Amino acid sequence: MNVKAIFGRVESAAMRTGKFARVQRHETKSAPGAEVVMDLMATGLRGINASGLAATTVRFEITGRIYKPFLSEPQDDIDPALMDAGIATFIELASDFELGGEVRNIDIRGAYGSPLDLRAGYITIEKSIFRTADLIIPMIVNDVLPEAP
Amino acid sequence: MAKQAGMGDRLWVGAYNISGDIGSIQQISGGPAAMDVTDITQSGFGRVGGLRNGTINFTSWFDKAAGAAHPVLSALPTADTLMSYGRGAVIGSAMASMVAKQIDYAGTRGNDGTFTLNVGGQSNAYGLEWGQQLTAGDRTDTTGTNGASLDGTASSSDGAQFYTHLSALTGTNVILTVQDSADNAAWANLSGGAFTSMTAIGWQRLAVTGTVRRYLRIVSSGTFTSATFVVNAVRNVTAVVF
Repeated sequence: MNVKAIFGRVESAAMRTGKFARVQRHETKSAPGAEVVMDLMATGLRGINASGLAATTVRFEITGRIYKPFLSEPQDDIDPALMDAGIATFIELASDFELGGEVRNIDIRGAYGSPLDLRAGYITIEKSIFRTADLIIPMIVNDVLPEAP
Repeated sequence: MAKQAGMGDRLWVGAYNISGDIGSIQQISGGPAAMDVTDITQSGFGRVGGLRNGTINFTSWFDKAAGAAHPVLSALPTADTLMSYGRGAVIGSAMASMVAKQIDYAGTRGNDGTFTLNVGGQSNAYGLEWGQQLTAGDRTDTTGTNGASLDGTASSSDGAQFYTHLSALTGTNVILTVQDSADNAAWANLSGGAFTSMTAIGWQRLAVTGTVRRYLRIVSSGTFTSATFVVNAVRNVTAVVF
């Protein structure tokens, strides 16, 4: 399992949408600017029942957090911008659901947990409030844990 | 040994180890059919053992790579195949083998995008037999090799059956021979214990009669640079008839 390559594929998919000023593979340490941007972060990994007999397949989750300043103008465009960016990213991921062979599939429909998911919220960074949309991106990766007694 | 889980298991079908593509095994069963011979003097059922039977049912993932589940199982052969389940993959691990007819390769595509295929095997002629691996799962020899031994704890006198899956061969041929020993030091070919020379991947079943001494091992010979195989040894603890 090549975690770095998986991050790279998700990053590339997001950048292909043309909706982001930047996409980075870590959580921001300072307040983002006025444009729509996204941070990719690992959320977790667990073994699942999609395995073979002698190795455990895992479900690996990445969260892509999209930011836009809460006080951007026009304010009516804040949520549509976030949703458009999130949906466009999902479309890119669904059209390459094996991420170029790095994963078995993106668990689009939640066969082994929650599906592709997009949740809006807020976050305060350096006293600035941002409207956010979290993309939950679950991926199935074959045979990561070989088994032997 | 304590109770064990089923992780690290194996499944072979014909000449192929398709363990990585098998999601679950629903049934590994066999034995004699129970024939009701109850008479009017009895207060409980009276039964005798009838025809030997065997069933292996499993669920496969879809994998279209060469030698993987889809090309192997979708062939739906009418000829016999050999199905073997390995509970682990070390010498001495339990292994169940069955000369079988493959019944179906039935796909289910769920709303959630999963795609699984149910496969059944029903025994032909011999039923299902439980034995022990004489190899640590698949063993790969690059030249003629005397394999490590299996301690059967005691000699037996009712013969044995052996099954092999040869899943890879580079070279002209490989001959797998079962040897036994009383002391794990002095070895001899088991009478009748040589599989037929194999010039391509495949499977075989072998039956021997009479004494089988305490220790067993597999010796490979032939003209090859690489041969990958697994062997199941079924030592009979009582007289058997097939």
